[in-house]
Amino acid sequence: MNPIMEIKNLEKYFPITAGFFGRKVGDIRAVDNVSFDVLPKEILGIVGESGCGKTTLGKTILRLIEPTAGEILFEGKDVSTLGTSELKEFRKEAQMIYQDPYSSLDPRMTVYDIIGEPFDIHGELKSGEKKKVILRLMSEVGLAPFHIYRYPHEFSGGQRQRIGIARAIALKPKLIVADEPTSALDVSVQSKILNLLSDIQKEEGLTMLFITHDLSIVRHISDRVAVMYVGVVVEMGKEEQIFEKMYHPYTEALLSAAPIADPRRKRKRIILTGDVPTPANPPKGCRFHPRCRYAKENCATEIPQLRDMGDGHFVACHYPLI
Amino acid sequence: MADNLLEIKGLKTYFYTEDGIVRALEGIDLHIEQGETLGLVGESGCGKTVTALSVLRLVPDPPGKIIEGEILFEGVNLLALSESDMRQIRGNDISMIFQDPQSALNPVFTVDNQLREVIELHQGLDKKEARQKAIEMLDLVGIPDPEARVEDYPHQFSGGMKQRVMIAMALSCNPKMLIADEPTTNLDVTVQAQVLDMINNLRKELGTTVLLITHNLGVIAEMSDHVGVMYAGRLVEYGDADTIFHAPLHPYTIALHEAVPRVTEKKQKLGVIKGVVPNLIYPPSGCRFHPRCDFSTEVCEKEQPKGEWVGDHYVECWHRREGTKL
Repeated sequence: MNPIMEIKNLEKYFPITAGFFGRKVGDIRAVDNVSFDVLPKEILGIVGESGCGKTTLGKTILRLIEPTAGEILFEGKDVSTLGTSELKEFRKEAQMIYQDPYSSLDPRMTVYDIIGEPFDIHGELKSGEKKKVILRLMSEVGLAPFHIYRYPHEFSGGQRQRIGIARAIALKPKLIVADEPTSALDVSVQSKILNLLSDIQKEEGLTMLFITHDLSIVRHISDRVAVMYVGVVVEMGKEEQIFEKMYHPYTEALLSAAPIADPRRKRKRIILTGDVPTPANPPKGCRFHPRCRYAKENCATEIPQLRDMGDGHFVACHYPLI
Repeated sequence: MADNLLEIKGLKTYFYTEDGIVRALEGIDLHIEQGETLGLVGESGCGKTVTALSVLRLVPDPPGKIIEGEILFEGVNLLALSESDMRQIRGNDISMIFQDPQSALNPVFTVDNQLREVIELHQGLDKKEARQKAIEMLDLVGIPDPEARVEDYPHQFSGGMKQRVMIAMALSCNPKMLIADEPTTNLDVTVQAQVLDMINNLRKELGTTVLLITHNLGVIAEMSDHVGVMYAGRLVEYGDADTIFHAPLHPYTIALHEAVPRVTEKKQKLGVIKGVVPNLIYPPSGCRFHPRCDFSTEVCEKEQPKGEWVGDHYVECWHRREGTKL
């Protein structure tokens, strides 16, 4: 299958400045030399702890922030070099769902305005059709027709997230980046939103990048999973490869740390010592080596490259767990 | 049967707001045995935190008020104590750690300063002894190089380290009971594992009884001996952890389990609870869960179900789901 999107050596550095003149003293390497493919109609989960660069990666892919270096090929075209009018066309194809349903909706716009705005910008609908289309989108995400002229503050968190989803799918995009869409929601609301997202993904044949820190959510929703650590992808593969026979020591530790909702299953936790390093000053060599219990000498000096272990399972480690 | 360290009987806590009376706790009965960890689970607004604040009598008044009930700690009713006696209980006998360590620590004082304040106040040690004790406590919660770190300000610690400092502070007077309100909710999963592990070890070492409040069923399963499930200001089910996770009786508990994705298996579809959490100014009549329940009948709408004990297992429902296996 040809990939819908190819990420090649993508980098995003944020400068650290100091002093009155804003002299540059270093870089925060939020995304550092990341390469992977996204297949059509798959849900690719991107999982990692805070500060690992997963949100920056999602935003850079949509060019909501400019990449420092690297290529983002969407259906063969490099997104990072698009001009203004081409970029506008690309925006129709690729949309984002945000984490916080409270701050991602304009409080002065009604549901009609919010879901209708993409059509206004891209001028695709005759004015007579607009309301009909908006009502159809609303019913698709589970909002009642009488909600159409209400404002965001009149809705609960889950309903607001539904408005955000309706806005994202309005122009029938091919790709959606969903950044922690349920982390602000309660368990019973979270399950409804996750079900809605996977239904919509199937019905519309969408490709989705699902960014989250929650391992149980990523397992539930993803076809394939990429695990990030301090700006790099350390392991990538099918959902069952990552969760059942992981190769990377970080993936192993991360999974063992996730609490299991079953008191009968007591497993041995691998307790990592220390904290996640800062991407402003990442460890040399393998970024995980100071916390890795299998680390050997060359881990501190040589950067492991992401390599194919067979059957589409990639790992960046000198000594993968086999 | 083990002795109960804490017994809550018929507790009602209301908030008198401009919009009306929020019936946050509508008659809660709960007990915690000496030395155990009790997990309290429920969605936001179900009254978990209000229960904890009521025990410490820290419910903000106004608008909050404890209307009715008894909170017996070692047989003494905390609600009948004077404010100065209550101060002796807080910190000395019962202490609490909060969800957000960032806002619970004072940014303009060093950790030494804040730890010593507690120790000097409650244990009557002088400055030098208190400092020694502060360093011991930091060492106990696993902060490397405690002699040097004690001089640091909160912003110099990471999130997980700040939560350790909070725990050091809470345990510095060797309390009989520790209330932990969502202690790991803001932490990364690997750091969460460190903190939970530490709470478990300290609890064994010091024999502290723990009331753990969280919305995360995984954390509950890993930490708790007994589990209480709360919904809209009521305790709807209580039992030992194995029963609550494998043979629950209340439809809400079952629905909650089915709605949660698992890290150990891939479910085809997540369970869904219809409707939304009720507004507690106008709570539903009868059983508060009935508008969202798949099994509700006329009686559920009219009458609050009477709680029933089956051995160690308490459930509040007209139509218990016997024989559910999860």
